[in-house]
Amino acid sequence: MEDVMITVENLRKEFKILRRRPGFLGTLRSLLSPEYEVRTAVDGISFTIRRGELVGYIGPNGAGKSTTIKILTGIMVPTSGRVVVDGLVPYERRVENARRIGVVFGQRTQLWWDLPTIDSFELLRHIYRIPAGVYKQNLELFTDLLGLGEFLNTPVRQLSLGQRMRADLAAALLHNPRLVYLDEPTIGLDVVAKERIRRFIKEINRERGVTIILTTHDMQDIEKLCERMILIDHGRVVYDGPVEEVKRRFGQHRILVVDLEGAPEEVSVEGAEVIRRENGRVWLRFNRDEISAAQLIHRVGQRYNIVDLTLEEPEIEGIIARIYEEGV
Amino acid sequence: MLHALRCYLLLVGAQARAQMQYRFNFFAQVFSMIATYMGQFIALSWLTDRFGSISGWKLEEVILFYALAILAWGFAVSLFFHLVSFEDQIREGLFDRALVRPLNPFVQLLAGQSPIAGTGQLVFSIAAFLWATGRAGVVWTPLKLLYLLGVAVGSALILGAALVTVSALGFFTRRTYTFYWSLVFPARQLVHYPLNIYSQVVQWLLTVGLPFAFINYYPAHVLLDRAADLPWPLLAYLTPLVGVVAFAAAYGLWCLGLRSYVGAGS
Repeated sequence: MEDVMITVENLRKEFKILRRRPGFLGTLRSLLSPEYEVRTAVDGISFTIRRGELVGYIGPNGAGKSTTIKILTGIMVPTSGRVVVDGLVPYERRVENARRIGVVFGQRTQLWWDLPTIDSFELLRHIYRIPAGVYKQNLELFTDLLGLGEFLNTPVRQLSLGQRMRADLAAALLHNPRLVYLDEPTIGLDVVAKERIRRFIKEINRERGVTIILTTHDMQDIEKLCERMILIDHGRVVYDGPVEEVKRRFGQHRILVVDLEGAPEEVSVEGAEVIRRENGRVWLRFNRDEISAAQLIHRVGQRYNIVDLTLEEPEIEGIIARIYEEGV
Repeated sequence: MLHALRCYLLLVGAQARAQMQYRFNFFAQVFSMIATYMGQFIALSWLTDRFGSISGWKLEEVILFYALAILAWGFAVSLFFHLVSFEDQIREGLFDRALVRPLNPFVQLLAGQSPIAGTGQLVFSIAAFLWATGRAGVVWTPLKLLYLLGVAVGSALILGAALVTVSALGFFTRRTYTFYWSLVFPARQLVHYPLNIYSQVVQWLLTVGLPFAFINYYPAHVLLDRAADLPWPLLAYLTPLVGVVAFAAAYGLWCLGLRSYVGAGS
């Protein structure tokens, strides 16, 4: 199909980890008769991503996120399964695949540490064989959108984290990739810097139709940027669909916080679960499908004297955290 | 190919510019090297003074062996020494950057250092070599100069091959420093002395295993017009060929290592 950018079918990746035995004799034995432990990092993942989509790819640490991204970028060969990115199998045609994609690893820069920022762009121009016209046009556009002008001549190691991330984003896009992987592009940034990065990501997705795979731990990134998210845990897809749908499907729980007069010893209300107590303040979790907030307040009011109350709506942050902790 | 060479030169140039920001390191390096080598020279001359000669070689000739080894090391350090620290790149995931760029990752790895980092060693090596050839009474002819050029290239490739092998082993074991210090470094130390002081086993190992004898021992025979003393005089002329073959083999191993790295994952 023409408008499919990425197809992943039944992807599996197992790691063989050498079991180390303690002591010198153990090391010797490990060397002579190695014993391996097999760990499954990706356990049968399938999904399809269309051209021009901006997809959040999220999951707790160790869920298999980076392993999937490594396979998609061609850095790693899967144990089994099928992966096609823009018509190519990335790990079979790594160099060709590399020409078409852009990658930002938020945790480590792609830039040359000791050189002025502009020098990194110049080097990438040659490595990617970017035509002079395209290079000039992109550099001007990104300088404008990301405000690179103030630090183009500053060595990368002297840049603030926010500046560095902006430079990294520009570097990953200079060669007009059709597909970009952004791995935690807002990590460690302040609110203003995050907002700027998000605006830019949105802009290149909308204006240039660049397909974007975004991995992040910041749920605001997902809410503000993505229409779709793929949530993985223990190497499997546990949710794949609209971001809004997650709230509906997993966010039936709301929380009523009440301050009760006289801080009663025992608090229990039918239809709600006490999840926290602090003196007179009680947090009650209830399912919106079973009982309405008004009904619950009424019930509480019948048994205790309510001094004050607030109602907490489910936030995606909390919903995801709960999925991470308890499973789907 | 042309693109790779162009990128190599550009990347090395960039590294050189980066390196220039740390000029103090350069001088510190030169001074520490002079101190180290002076110590070794003194030990060496004490030995030969005491015994008159080592296995039939006069002090001046032993110094020539030594100087040839240092000369080769000067070139090798300038071009390849950073390969020893490859395990850091793997561990910190920095090598993955090379895999998402459309350029042979081997070229990107080789281009990870500027020759300037080794300049101190190289300048010192050349000076020591000139001094030693003077003392050893080497008679220079145009043919010998041409030969020396071939030896220099071949020797740099032989040592380069050893360092490429060290980095290739890093793919399989996630360790590189240990292979340098346990294999390459001791072998380098061995060839500082004339090969014929060692047992047959060691002589063979340094000829066909880690062929460091081609760096100084065999070529020195030609410079001293004593090639006829070798069991096979042809050995004295094989340095460039050995260099090319060794480097190609090391590159082959490196590619195998890369395949295992990409296959196994980390």
